[in-house]
Amino acid sequence: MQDRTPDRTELLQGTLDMLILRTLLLGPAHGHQIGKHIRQTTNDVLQVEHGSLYPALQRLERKKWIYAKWETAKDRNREFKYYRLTAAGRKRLMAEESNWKRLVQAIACVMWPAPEEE
Amino acid sequence: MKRRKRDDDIERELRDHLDLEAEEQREGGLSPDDARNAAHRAFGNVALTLEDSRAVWRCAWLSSLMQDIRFGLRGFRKSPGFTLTVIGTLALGLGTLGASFSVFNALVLRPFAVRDPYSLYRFEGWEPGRPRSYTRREFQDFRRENPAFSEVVAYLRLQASMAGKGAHVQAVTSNYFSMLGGRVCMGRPLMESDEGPSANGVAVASYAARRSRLGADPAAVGTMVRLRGQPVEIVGVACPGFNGVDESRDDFWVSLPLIPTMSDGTPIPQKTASGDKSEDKRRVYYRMIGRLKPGLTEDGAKAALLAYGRQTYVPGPGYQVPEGVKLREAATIMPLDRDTIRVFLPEFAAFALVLLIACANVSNMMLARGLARQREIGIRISLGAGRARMVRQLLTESLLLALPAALAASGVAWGAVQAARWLQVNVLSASPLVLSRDWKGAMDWRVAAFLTAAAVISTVAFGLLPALQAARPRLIETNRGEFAADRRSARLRSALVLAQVAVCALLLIASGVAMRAERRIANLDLGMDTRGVFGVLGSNTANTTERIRALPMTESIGYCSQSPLAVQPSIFAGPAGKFSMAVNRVSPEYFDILRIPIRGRNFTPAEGDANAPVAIVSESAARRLWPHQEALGQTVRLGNLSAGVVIGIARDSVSTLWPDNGAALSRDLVYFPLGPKSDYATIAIVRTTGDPDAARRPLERLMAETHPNAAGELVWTPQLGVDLFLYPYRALAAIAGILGVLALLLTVSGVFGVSSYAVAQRRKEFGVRIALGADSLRLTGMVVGQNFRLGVAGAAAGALAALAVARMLSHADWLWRAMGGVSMRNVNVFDVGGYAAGAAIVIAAAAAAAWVPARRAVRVDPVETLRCD
Repeated sequence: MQDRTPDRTELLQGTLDMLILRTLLLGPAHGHQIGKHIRQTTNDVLQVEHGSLYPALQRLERKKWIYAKWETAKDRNREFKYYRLTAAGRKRLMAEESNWKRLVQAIACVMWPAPEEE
Repeated sequence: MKRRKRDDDIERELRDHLDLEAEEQREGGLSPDDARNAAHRAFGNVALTLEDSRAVWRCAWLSSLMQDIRFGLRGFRKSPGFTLTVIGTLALGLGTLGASFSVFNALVLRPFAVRDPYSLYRFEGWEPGRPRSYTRREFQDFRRENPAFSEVVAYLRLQASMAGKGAHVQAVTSNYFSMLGGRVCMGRPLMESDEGPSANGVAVASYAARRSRLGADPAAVGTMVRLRGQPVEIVGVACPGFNGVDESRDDFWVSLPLIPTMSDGTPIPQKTASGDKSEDKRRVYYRMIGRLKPGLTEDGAKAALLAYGRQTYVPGPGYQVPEGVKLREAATIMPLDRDTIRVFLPEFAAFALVLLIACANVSNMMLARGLARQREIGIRISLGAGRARMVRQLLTESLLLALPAALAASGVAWGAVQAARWLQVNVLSASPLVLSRDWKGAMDWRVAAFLTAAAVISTVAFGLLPALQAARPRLIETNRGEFAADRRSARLRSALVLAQVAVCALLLIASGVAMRAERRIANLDLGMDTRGVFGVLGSNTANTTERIRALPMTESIGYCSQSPLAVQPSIFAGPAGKFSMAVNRVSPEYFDILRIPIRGRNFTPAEGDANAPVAIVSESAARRLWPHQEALGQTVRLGNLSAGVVIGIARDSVSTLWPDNGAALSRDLVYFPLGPKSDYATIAIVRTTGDPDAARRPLERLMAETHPNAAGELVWTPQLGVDLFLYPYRALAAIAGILGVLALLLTVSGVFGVSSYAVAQRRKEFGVRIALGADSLRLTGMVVGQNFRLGVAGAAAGALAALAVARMLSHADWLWRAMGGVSMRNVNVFDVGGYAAGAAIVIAAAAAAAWVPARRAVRVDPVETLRCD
């Protein structure tokens, strides 16, 4: 059995949502592409369990931050479910991004304080 | 439809993902199979992801709840025996508790059906003890100038005979209906004008009385009826819901001015102010209920009333300055306060113990079922169900059992209340107080809510333990098919059954003690024979005596100043300090009628007529007054009241069944002579021959003829007093006995279930033992012995608990008094016989419950069990 303690899922959830939205800013993508993109751009540091992507996608879709459509892929003769960013999603991404920046800066201040001026 | 499509979508999407991933892995050089596995590994739990993704779109808990419910119901359909046993057991336990709660509800919780009942307070007079009697003027002042109440209603309860049957009549002030918001469905309510001095007697009938007393007459309004022989016109009929604010049922409400006329002929001697019978001077005892002025609290009202009382009542002979106010909530029959709860709590606890035993049974059944379902649960957990989900599933199932159990329990409670009524009337010779209120409506939403809550709490509490047990994931064992009961649940089970046996022992000991006390009291030698004896009030008027004597079934007639078995002792000053002594004045026939033998001689009729200075004393009075001396010939002197030479010693008889302060029954009695024409000769006692019930009717007819205005019943039997005296003991024994039997039944079934289960678990072991040559006697002994030890341990624990309870009860004088006059002197809470009987029954029952499982153990076929795995 997987150990799925709630703390960890919650932490992942928030950031995962942001990462998905950021990925979709580049253009429509289906689930597998999104996961792959996150893995590759982070040089495999963020090993998202593939499965956890899908509930997150459903959640975002339900909140109307993204919308989904079955489309035929360009490179093969098969339909995939493509996700796109909505206007609300874009706004949400901006908000999350600035939040994240503040958080990172705050953490940085604690971790690597500026040398005190004499 | 939309949901179905979305669910399919998600599934397809996941499949796509896995395909793409596998494809990529293949491109990376893996074989197709390895690629698939790698894709699955990277993905995680597919079923769970699917479930989580779908759950995003739903009110997740609702849909899984529906699933749990469907699944649970399917399970119950598959094992109807288990389901029905659990529901039945719970219903029995809950229903008993519900019955006791419905009594509590009717007495304490349910308000009277009047307007704003919670602002009503009974005004019960001043402290210390200024009598609650008022002249009309005083009352009217109190009503008008009252600082605490916006309105006051006064009423007086009367018994009246109407066409030969007793009726509950409430004489009320004319604002009764308007203040209480009592609606009248036919005719009109009582009005101001009905109180005038020249007003005719008018009455409003209750809806029930209209049906039972006026023959459901559609033209009931305008009918003339006679109450206590007075002509009264029915001017209205109250709506069905309204029945006043008293603990008794009301049949008629009459206007207060009827009281003076109606009180004439009241058997209770009334002390009217110096013979002045003008209406304004006459003091009447009222019961009063006031509606608190808006914004006033109970304490504020008390303070305001006290100030008023101090200012109004100048201290005089017999009156003191009021120092306090007695005020009591009047919304319910008994106010919901500390005292009431203290009285009900022990009774409620006893009923709750039965429920506890039932719950232990249920818990054990659930535990056994949980173990049997381990494979199913194991499989579900391997398929990705979370442990929380499994616990929720099992809890849902508990609740599914709780609701039908609550429903069945309300049926049981209703039946129990009806049965209790029947028992009261037909077996226990009921106390009139308990019977007087209508119990038909005892079930209402409060009882239903209570039962539902109790059912949910008990199933959750007792279903949760097994649920947690069963849902502990032990994947490897369960998938391998090993369901050996683990030690923890075995320990839980034996703890439960031990507790059950202990509680059962406690209840059985209690019922043993109560029943033995009841037997002892029922066999109490009263010292007189009251069967076929009637007391008659008011027979010394006119020539009633002669007419009673002329009745064919009359054997003899005598007189006394106080009713036998109700002679309260008085305090006298003697040479050796103060002493209490019961004194009765009796005519010579008294001793013969009550079959009390006399040593020495009886009074002569001449002595009776002349109030001669002679006396007869009871044996114990003789012993007390002249220890070690011959009493005959001594002079008994009781204060300056009376003195006489002792001419006879009467055999001991109980002076009063209701001694003050719950003292022990006394047999100290001094008799002085009395003639039929004496002022003291208020009570005639008549011995009749033949069937007592048949003898009663002509007596009643005769008295109704000679006393048409009589207030209540003029004829009664001293045996009624004996029955009333015994009633609380009988009721206590009956309740304790019923609880004991229920507890025993439930415990036996619980012990039986657990030992059957244990034997089934140990089949293999028994097989080995038989194969090694253990004989059946030895095996039976083993199984029965185990239960015997359980019984002994439980009985010991129960007896200890009983001793603790008994210690508590032996100090709780208030509780005994509250139980309708049960005197703790008459109940030995440390009765060894009761303890022994209770313990013995429990031990025997526990051992007996092992008999069938033991036979089963003996019949184990060693070959078969050893081949089993």
